[in-house]
Amino acid sequence: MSATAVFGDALLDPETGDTARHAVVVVEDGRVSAAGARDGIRVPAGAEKVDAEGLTLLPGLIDCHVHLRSKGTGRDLGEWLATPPSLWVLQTVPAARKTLEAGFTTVRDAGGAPSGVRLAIERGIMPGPRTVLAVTALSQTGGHTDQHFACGADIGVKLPDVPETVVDGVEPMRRRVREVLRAGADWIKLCTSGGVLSPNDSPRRADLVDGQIRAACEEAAAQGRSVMAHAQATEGIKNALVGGVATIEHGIWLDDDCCELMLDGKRALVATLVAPLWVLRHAEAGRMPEWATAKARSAVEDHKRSFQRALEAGVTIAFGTDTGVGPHGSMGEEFLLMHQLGMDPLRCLQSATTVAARTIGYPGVGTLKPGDWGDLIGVRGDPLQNLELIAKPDNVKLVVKGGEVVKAA
Amino acid sequence: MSVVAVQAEALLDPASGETTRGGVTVLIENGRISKRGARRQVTAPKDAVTVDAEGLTLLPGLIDCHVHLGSPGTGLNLGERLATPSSLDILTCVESCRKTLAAGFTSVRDAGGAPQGVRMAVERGFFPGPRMMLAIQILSQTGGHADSLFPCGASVPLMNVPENPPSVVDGVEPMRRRVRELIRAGADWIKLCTSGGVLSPGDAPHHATFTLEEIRAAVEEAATQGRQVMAHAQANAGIKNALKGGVKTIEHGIWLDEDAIEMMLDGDRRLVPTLVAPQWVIRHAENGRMPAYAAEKGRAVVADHSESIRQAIEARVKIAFGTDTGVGPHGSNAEELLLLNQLGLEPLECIRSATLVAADTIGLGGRAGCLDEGAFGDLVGVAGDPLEDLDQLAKAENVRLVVKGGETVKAA
Repeated sequence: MSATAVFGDALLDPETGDTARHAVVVVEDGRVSAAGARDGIRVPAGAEKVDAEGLTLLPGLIDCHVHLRSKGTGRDLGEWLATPPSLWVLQTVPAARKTLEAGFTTVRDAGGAPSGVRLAIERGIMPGPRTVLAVTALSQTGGHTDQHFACGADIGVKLPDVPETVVDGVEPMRRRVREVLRAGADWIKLCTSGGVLSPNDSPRRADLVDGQIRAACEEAAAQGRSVMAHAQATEGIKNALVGGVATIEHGIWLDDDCCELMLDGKRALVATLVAPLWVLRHAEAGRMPEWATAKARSAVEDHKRSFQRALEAGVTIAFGTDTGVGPHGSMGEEFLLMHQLGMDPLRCLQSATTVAARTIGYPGVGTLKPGDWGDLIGVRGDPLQNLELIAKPDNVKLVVKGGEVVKAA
Repeated sequence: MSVVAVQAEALLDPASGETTRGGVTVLIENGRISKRGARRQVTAPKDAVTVDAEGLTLLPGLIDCHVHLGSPGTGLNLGERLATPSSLDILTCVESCRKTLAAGFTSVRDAGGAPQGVRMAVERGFFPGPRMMLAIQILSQTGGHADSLFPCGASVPLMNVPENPPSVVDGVEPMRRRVRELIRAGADWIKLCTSGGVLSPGDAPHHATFTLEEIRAAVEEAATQGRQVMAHAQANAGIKNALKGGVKTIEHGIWLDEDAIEMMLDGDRRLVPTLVAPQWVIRHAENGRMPAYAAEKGRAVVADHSESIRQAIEARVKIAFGTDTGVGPHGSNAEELLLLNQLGLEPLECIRSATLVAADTIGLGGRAGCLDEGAFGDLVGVAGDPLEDLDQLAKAENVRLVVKGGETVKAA
């Protein structure tokens, strides 16, 4: 039995927003056995003591939308053409490390990372967060994940353990969902609208309008999985919600009907406000094709208004960033954007802890109750007073995953 | 300009065999050795970053001419192979690279499996690893050492990488094309199996594979693009075909005879013995992690293998250090030094085989395995005199310091 006791100035419970002073978190065999004020907790003899004096402890953060396989340094198609498939797999190594060091101890990968990444992290081959995987992001021909270019080249990354991204028709969709689940997917990802980084489509257009969404949701449900929808166009969002998806990703053009559908079905919005900003930043650095830049520019203000509409309507908002568009480790900036648009700090924090855990369906993360995973971070001060403390990776001074210190100041 | 000054007790130069003692300095400027010698003779610039290796003996980073970074080296469990996705095969290289480097091996030749993405990832700093020359894929004939088809009808390769060309090829024209594909996929070396092997299900190590014409075609095609050929060659006839066909290195060489040895001496070919590989097959078999067919083949060759290498050492064939690690666990490479020494290779020659000779063999002569001005700043530091005690290098935990390109990658 291995035990670790982390002694911090304070312990912040994101469920209530309450803070316990002079706190300790005890982790035994990877799981929390006790957490709270020190005077009420007996630390087992022989526990490894982690000194986090001066730090406020809180549960490890959760990002519901990342792409560990993408570098997050912009899209340079020349570079892309010179990148062999194995390098795409190996790009997950620094991505997973930086994610963890930024305090994100759990992520949902929204497509691209194969099951070997999860296995490699579980086996200690490389450090990284707990991962919930979509494996393949599915779209129709000419949709968001069709990497066919006008010259005739298909530059989609071909990995033997990642099923094809493009699928048309109801019956092929059923089969493809089964293949994706066979490949180790925890979630099914559908693109029910066009997107920004894809060459042939428009984010304002609904895709998969032929019954494929419902078929995918049924097949996923038959094996206990839920569906996440890349959904930007209003019609694409509605179709996704009517078809039965659990989460709306991006949600750029939500209207009141969309919000109502989300509330009725207890769906969550994963806004990824920071993603179009990174498209524009990469464009300024000359690392983004013009067609993608133009699409991002046309969406960024509407995206914010849509987020505010959802927030005001009381839609559940789960933290997600689309990191892999932006650089790994930079996810915390999303907190600042959500806050700027009116979300209060506690809800911001909840969106990346309790709400995110419920949304992705990962048990034992997002809180530090006895039996939860021993995943926690330490910051110098109260993040509810100053979101910058969790918004910048340098401000995250301590990261513990499963009782093991993975980053210490 | 970044300058690193490594300060140590002694410096062993494999070229001269001389050890400078009583305080030494090696200066590394922008990743390359610029000066080295007794401390009083080498002045470090004021802004140099000092690496404190007091008490240690330095020598050039070691080189292994035969590894498989894509195999974890924990034995062959076919049930596990069947459950391993391609992406995990690729990510296995992350751990192999780290352990190889930590054992003091700063350069390797991968004898098949590791794709060029691994080299690119190490060069870009995604994770630490040695410099590498790659064979990308092992080529054999149908039913040969690199044919992973099992009687059930399933093909279960030891490493499954999307961009690596297929491993089975038959005929002269298909061979030419396949070699071109391999070079396109980033190969520095072409690896042919001119005999059967131990870990493959359908062949015998004492049978020659590929025709002489197929081997010649591969050697020619490789040469037109400045590459050479390494031959997995265990059977006597397979070794001779390889040598006649013009390969540069004989890997394993289990059944050499006087004629084969003479051909090697005449043609300046290199022998990469990998003595430790069948030992690991047997060890894994004892732990229940080796299929019966492979364990049986491993046991059947081990005595002949030693005898063959002993003859080659006696005849002064150039021995380039290589281990087939990936059969055994990564980081354990240097045990091979002890086995070479047991078969009559003097300690200095053992060290040369893993430095000077290895570098020259795989195409890094003058750049790695030596302390020449301009060579890579790759060093290892050990606590005692490796010429007196090869265990100083043979056990990874005895390697206290590893520097690659002037950067400390392991320090005690």
